[in-house]
Amino acid sequence: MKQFLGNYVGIVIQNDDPQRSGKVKVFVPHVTASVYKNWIERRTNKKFKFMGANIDNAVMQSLSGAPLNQTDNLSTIVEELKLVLPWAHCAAPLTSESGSGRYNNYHNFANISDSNHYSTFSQSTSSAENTPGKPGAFYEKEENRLTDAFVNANQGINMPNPLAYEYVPATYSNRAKGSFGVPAVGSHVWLFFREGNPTLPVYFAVSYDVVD
Amino acid sequence: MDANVETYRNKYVINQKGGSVEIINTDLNEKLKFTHYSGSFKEFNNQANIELATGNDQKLVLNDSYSTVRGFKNDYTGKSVDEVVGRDKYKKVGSINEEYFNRWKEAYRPIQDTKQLFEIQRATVNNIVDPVTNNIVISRNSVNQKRTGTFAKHPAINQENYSLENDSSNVPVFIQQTQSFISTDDVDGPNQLSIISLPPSIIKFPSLVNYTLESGITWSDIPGMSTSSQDGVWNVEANKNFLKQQIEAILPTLTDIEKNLGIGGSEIVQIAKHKIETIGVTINDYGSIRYDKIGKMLTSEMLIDSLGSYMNFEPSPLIEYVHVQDLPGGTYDLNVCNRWNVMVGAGGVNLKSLGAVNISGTVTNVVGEQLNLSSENEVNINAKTINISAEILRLRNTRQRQIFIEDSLGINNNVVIGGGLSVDGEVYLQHVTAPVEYQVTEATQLYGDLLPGVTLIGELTVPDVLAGGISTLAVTDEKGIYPIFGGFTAPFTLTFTTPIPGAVAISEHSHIFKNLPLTLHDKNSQVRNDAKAINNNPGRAVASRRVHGKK
Repeated sequence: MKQFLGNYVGIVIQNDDPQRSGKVKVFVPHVTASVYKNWIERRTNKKFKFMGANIDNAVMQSLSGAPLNQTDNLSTIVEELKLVLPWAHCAAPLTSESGSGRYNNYHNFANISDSNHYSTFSQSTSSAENTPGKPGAFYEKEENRLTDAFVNANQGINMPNPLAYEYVPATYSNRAKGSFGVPAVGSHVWLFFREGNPTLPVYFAVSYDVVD
Repeated sequence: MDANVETYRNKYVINQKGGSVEIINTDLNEKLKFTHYSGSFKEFNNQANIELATGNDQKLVLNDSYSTVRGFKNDYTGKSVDEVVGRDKYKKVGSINEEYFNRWKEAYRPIQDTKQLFEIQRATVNNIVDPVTNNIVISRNSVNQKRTGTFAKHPAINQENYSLENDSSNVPVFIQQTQSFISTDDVDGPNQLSIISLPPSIIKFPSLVNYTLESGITWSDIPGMSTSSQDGVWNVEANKNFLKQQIEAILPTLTDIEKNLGIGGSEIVQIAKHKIETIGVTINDYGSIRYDKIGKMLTSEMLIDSLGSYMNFEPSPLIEYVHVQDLPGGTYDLNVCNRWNVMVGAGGVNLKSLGAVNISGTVTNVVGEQLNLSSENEVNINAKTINISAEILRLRNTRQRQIFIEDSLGINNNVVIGGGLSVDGEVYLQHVTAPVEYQVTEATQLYGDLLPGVTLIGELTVPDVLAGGISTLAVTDEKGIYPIFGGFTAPFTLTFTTPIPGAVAISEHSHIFKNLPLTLHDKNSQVRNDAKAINNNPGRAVASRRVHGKK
């Protein structure tokens, strides 16, 4: 297999990783151009900026708005690309704490708990939900949901608050630490292929053009 | 997982143990959320900025702070609120737009003016006007109030009352005419005299002439007409009939004005337990009066001296206002432009001050199941007219002394006096009912006249009387004079042809007669000395017993 060393710019065409690990599928025309025979054979200028029938990727449109010629549009092949392209792993920037757990060298003890109490470390670390974590996670449980004082007009309140229940923190307790984001479909990202293997893509950065 | 969902969804999270940053990019649910380890967070979403402090929430501003809420502001404090203000505190509720409030007032003023009219045109305008600005200070009447009609007749004239009016001048004539009859009874002759005059009857009095003289009234209008508009015949005030139309006509104008008054403008406060306000830091306990315990000498009662009755004077406290210097703080001004309602439960109202308390109003009503008005020193009630009415009306001197009336006392009906009565002036009575006392007249010798025609029949004895050897007696007839010599005795009949006053003398005697029980003194002072029993007498001056006999 031909090795593809170095970094490439591609277009994210799918980001709904079923494993929710932030993987995306990236179309790199320089690498996968020959895969799409019916499309590449048309000798017209190709615009890979973005998908969407409503933008100028669709070169001509009828008066009714229906595309007359979709052959130049990335949208016409994106569904096919989703089927063949591999999921690219994320190489996110290092944001302070990283990793899914903590290690205490003094006790030689590992855990995933975000609790401050050492005694809780010895408890199960197999489940983030059942492990003591950030105290704020208490309020994320349905049974502990907070409300303000303006819930019910029957309690002498003149103006009930429609968002009176919106006091749920997002502590991400006992979750992995770091920066987590999934590039949107259409994002231009830099990626490389692990060991040059085009089936093992890794995206790590975003690319901006002058038009951005 | 549906890869082709209609809604765009995306988010970015930075998670650390100490806190997390969450940016939600999902369509219609965009959020920016900063969450602390403790759960405290600050969130920005499409509907609200939401903040949760799981611990305390505090802020320090070294300069000014501004907070603007265009909509409703809702504050809730589960425990207490401690608010400390270093300088002044201002609170404005509603749109302070004086121009439109004044417009409203002036627009409605004609209606209020109509309301102020009497139903009948009975009065003139009696407003109190500033002499300089000519502005009405106190509006007692509508400016359109008129007096059109006629006064009633003066109620004091021609009142219907019981009256005794009898003429006893003809009684002596009657007695004279019946003297012979009543004299036939030697013992009870005078008992036959019985003349009963007419009883009291209802008649109308006084006349206009008498009333004018008796009351000293000066008629400013037609004599005999009432000096009050009461019971007069007055024209009906037609403007009162248009009040409804007036109100209906002004409503659109008022509505237009009210649109500019702003929504709301009221403050509604509900406190479950108590409200305590302390205005100022230290109590103003300066003296607010000056007090002389014996500063006034007031007439207190009538006393009886041997030379007459006189007013007694006793000291009473003199109290004067003192201007009280305001303290730098501690003044509570409550300016209520329309009405002040204070409704208090059974706990009552305590209004106490170390200074003067002034309560005034056009009509001031003080009502209670029991009304106590008391003072350690003096209670003054002053008005043009004071009406006191009650089912039981008592005046009581706590020292059991007199109730002093400085001027005259007029009583329409009756007076009951359990004790004595001292009158230093004249007593005018129409009739007296009293127990009888048998009294004896002074011993009197009477002299009577010999009347013409009275004939005396007797025997005349004439002794021999000589004067110088010549008898001085003679009998005279038409033939000459015949001297009588020697004494003689002869019957005679003597008939008087002319009256001889005082010719008959009756032995000294007296009469017994019925009269009022009386104690009579020669001197006025003796009467007053007896009356002194009333002086300082907390009880009743008892009537003297009847003593029948000579007075």
